[in-house]
Amino acid sequence: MFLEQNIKKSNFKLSDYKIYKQQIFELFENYKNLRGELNDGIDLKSLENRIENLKNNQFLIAVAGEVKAGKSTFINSLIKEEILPTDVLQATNALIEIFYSKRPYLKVTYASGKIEILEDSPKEVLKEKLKEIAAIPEEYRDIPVNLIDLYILENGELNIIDNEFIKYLEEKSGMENLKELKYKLENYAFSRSRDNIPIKIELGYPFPWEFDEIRLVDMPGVNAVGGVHDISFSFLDRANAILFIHPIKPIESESFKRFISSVITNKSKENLFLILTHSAVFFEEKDRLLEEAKRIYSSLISPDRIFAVDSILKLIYEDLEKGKTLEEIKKEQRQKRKWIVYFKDLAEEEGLDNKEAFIKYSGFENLIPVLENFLLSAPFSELINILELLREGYKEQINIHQETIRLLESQKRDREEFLAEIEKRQKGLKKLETYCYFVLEEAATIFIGVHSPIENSLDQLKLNYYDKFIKSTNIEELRKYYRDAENDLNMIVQENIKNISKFFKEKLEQIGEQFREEYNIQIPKIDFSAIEESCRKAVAKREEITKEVVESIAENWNFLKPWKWLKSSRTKKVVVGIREFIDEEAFFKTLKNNLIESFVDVIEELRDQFYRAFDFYKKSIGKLLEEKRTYLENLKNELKTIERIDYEILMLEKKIALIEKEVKIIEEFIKRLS
Amino acid sequence: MMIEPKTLKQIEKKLEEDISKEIELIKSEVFFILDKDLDIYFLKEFAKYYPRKLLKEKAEILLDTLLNYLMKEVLEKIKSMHLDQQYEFFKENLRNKIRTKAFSENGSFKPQPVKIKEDEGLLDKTITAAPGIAVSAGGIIATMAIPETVPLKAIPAISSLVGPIYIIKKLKDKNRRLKNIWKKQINSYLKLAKNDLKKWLLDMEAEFLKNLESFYKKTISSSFENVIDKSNTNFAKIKSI
Repeated sequence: MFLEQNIKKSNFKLSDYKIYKQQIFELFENYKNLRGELNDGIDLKSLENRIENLKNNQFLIAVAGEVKAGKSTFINSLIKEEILPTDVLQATNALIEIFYSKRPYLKVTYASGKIEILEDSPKEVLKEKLKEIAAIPEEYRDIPVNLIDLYILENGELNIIDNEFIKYLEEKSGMENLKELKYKLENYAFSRSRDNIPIKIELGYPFPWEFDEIRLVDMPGVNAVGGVHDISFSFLDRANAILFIHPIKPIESESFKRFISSVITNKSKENLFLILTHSAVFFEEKDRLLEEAKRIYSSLISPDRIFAVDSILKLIYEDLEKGKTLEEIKKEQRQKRKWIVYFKDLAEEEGLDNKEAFIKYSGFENLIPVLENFLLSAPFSELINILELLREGYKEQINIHQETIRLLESQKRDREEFLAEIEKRQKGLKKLETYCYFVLEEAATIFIGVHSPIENSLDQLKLNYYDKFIKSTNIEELRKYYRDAENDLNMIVQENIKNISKFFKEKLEQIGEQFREEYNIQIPKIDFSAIEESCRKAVAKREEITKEVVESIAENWNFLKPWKWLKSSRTKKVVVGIREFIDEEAFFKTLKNNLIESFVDVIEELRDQFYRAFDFYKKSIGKLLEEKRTYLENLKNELKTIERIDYEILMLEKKIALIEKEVKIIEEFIKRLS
Repeated sequence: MMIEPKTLKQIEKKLEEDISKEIELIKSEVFFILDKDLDIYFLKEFAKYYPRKLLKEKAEILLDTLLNYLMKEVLEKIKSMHLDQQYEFFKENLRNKIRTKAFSENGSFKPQPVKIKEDEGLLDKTITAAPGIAVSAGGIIATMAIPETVPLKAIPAISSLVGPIYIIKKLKDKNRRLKNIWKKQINSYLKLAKNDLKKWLLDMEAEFLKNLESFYKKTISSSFENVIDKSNTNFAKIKSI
């Protein structure tokens, strides 16, 4: 929910973000140079990773919705280029990924592994190709082509279409009287092979838009025959924003409700937007319908996340932007004609110029800034986090340099005094190490054992989700609960890791002042965010493994393919001459059982990870103290001439001046961003 | 002695309470699942393997809990000692020593397998196989439903999968009876396991005390017996800052 608050409070723009990012890269380079070999407590590797992630950052927007909801037109209007075919029924189970590329590029990966690439082709060629691979040919609109494709995907080929198979298709697709279309089914099925069934379509194009870091994913229709594809789910989970497209009328949408209640995870719900399309068709009623939608869906989605748009009006606006006149658009594109006539009049009445009017009436004027803001709120806070780390690192560098200067000065004054000073610090360090040990033991009593918060949360979560798994009534629901459970588990572990960080940080800060006064030593800076990150990654790695397990149970379409379940006996069937049947209820039950079983393993693994994370903190603290000890030992053993000492002090002072300059820049930067 | 016998008794009492609580948790978790209308073959395997698995898991957590109790007492004493002694104790890394021992091949907690009534006759009656072909239905369902990637421990040894047709008949009453028998068996299993678990934890406690004793002899009773360096800020003081 924090993201929603950010939408209201801040005003992030993609164009700003790109500039800021560039500036941070420069600041990071300076930081690396100034830091040199010094350990200022900031984990350089982890910081480098974060910078690298920033460089490769992409915002994934999943566009979902029913077939014919206007997804393709919506995407075209968003990317300002009419490249996705809109006058066809989308048939493919493959997702279409759309991203910015300087050169036009279309890559189609087929099930057999065959890859087809079209490069530098004109828009019309790409569009035609997309139409060819993604659309249902006119003559096959009345048969469940997706299900047939799926069978071939799994089994390699389909040699015979008998009554049982047709019955299966009817059951799964809800289509009736397919028996009468047997010849059509055969025609279609026998023309398909893994060589011509696409599984992934990537489209890169030099879109005239500013979102070049965004990757749009056009998902197959959620009510498309055969349900939602497994790949779609993994995209939904990863998406930074999910736009569910639905026609503005009728406003009630069962598919949207189902999408929320049993398809997407609770975590993904936070990224969901409902986009009501075709608002021009019901322009007079638009506001009322929008309000009604907000009311109807108030328990499912925040009203701020519901928008009414019209993609055609946005496309007309884009044409105007490209310098075309309304007359020209009318002549070239007949489907836009009636809208031009109607809204031109309306614009005149309201005293708006054409461009102003079409963007206003399209509704995109409201949607885009909110979407942009939403997508950027997390990356902006990452920018601030990185800047804060740089600042902290610099501050520690100044401390270390000043400490060295003080020691060098005492060495210059009197070697005995210098040695005494070092010894005092060494003693302080020993005490600090011991103190840290006590802190770690104290942490153990809080964070591990039967009374720890993690154990209590895990026990509760386990029973809660067992119940949900058992009560779930279909496979989609089961899958959703499992993913919810995974997310919740992950959150519990992450939260506990965060609390450990906080605990250590506070304890060390508490003691810091006393050690400085008593022993002249600085408590070494410990980059808890980097430790947290490593632990998080370790946990995430586990999550990946479990995900794989779950996906393969719930998402590999086996529930749709009895043939696969009994694959090993299939050959026997031919010999014996009887057809197999599977009790789907039994299958579903077994699936539940196995989810419970694997869930237990997941919990165990996560717990294990958490305990390892705890050890990791121990090691990280120990390592820094060790480094500090070596540093003092080296200083003690090094005998320097007065000239050398003077030179070193001068160089350190220069460095401090440079660092202070950088700190000032960073502080101003942080102020600007917050 | 660094831990008074009286304190040790209190620790053991607390530990006993923790063990009872955890055993109850295991029981309620297993029974929660057993009470559900799930596939009886799955439940059979569940009842067989799951209590043992949970026991192992809980044993580790209980060991940490025990170490927390023991360390807390010891550290109270250590905190008032000379810095060098504190440092020595910290280098000793007692917690890790015990954990390593506890998870070694010889020292680890190995609960007995659960023995439950396997009324094969009853189970087999639920399956009508194709004429002439006997199959274990639990195995079949599981094999079919589970893709290759899923490690499945709860599936009984899979019989040769040749049966083409099967129907599962619901024999709810019989299942309920069977479930009740399993529950009783799990109950008595957990009772016994509780004792084993307690014994193992007490062994670990003894190991801890032995190590502590040897540290005490080695470090404290030699050169600095009962020396408390008043000039050093003790950690109780630091802690209260």
